Amino acid sequence: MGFDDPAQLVMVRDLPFPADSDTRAPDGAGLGDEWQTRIGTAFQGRTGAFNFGGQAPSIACTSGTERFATATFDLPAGAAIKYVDMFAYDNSSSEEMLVFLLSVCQGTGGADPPVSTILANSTTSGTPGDTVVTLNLSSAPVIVDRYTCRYMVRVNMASPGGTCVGGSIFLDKVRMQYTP
Amino acid sequence: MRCNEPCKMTKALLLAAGFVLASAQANAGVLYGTDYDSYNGRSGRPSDSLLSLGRDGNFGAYCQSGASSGRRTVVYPFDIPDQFEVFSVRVWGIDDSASNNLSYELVKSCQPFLSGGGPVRTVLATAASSGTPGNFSQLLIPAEQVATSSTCAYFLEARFAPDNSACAGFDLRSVRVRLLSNNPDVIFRNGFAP
Repeated sequence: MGFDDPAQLVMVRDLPFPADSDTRAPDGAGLGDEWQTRIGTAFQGRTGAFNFGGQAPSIACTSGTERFATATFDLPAGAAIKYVDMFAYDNSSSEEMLVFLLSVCQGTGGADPPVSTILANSTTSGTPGDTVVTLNLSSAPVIVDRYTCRYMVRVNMASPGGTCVGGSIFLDKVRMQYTP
Repeated sequence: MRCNEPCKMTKALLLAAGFVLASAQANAGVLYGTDYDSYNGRSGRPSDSLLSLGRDGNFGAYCQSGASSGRRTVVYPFDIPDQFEVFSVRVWGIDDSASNNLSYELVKSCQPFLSGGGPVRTVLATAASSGTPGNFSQLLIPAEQVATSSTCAYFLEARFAPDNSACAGFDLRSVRVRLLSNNPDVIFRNGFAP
């Protein structure tokens, strides 16, 4: 162990044996993973025209054509983003809800414009009611670069070109699973 | 009482220990894992776009809405790492309103880990201003609560008026929110790399 004194007290954390990297469990499956969550109420409209309502933690897009809302995540430098889970309710036969993981990066010292990149995206499907949509990045996790980038999740609360459907679609929360 | 040499040494040690404890109080986050997170009143998120939220000049928030439809609540989402202990939430505000009080709910909202399921809200603690105390401060203390951040979200809801009712405007302000939590495992929190 590298200690000269045989009487040296050494504490070793009692963690379960690391599971397969694809295993997911609420306790992190022994991988040391952590979570960061943004509730629906924490999402802000892309513009001031985003009309919303609901009881926290959920929001619905109540009217109009502005249906994008965004929340920024604040992860430690070097963290590996492995999964993004969107918890939602979709009972709309005409619209789906889309979720995007975005990075917005700029040059380190210059005046370059921000560059937005869609790192992953997915959508609800049909009328599942309460549902979870997962962006699985575990095979090639996104490594957080706090120096030049910000990371955010954007939802589109109706299909592209669609309109808001009120209480037929709710955003409950978005959770990131990452390895610090 | 007279103090001989060993006694003086004991006193000196106690004095030194006192200084250590005093500095531990000042830097508690380092030694004990306690963590304070403060939020300006205006950093809360309205739960409804019909809620017109004003700021008082010191980032306190007040509700400007009249008796139109919509919720009159502002939400302060908390970032609490998994397994942290939620000790308390202290709120500060100003209540000069004879008609309305500012009420708070500390809420835990849980859903299944990886399957669909509506959020289940549990109110962990409540507090409210009463009368017209002017500046006020209240403490919300949940029963023992270890955060399970993989399945649950935590937030504080501040209510300025019943739903669809008129707010008291500038007379009722949410000024500050402070969350006190504790990291129970300062040293080995993240385990070792496999």
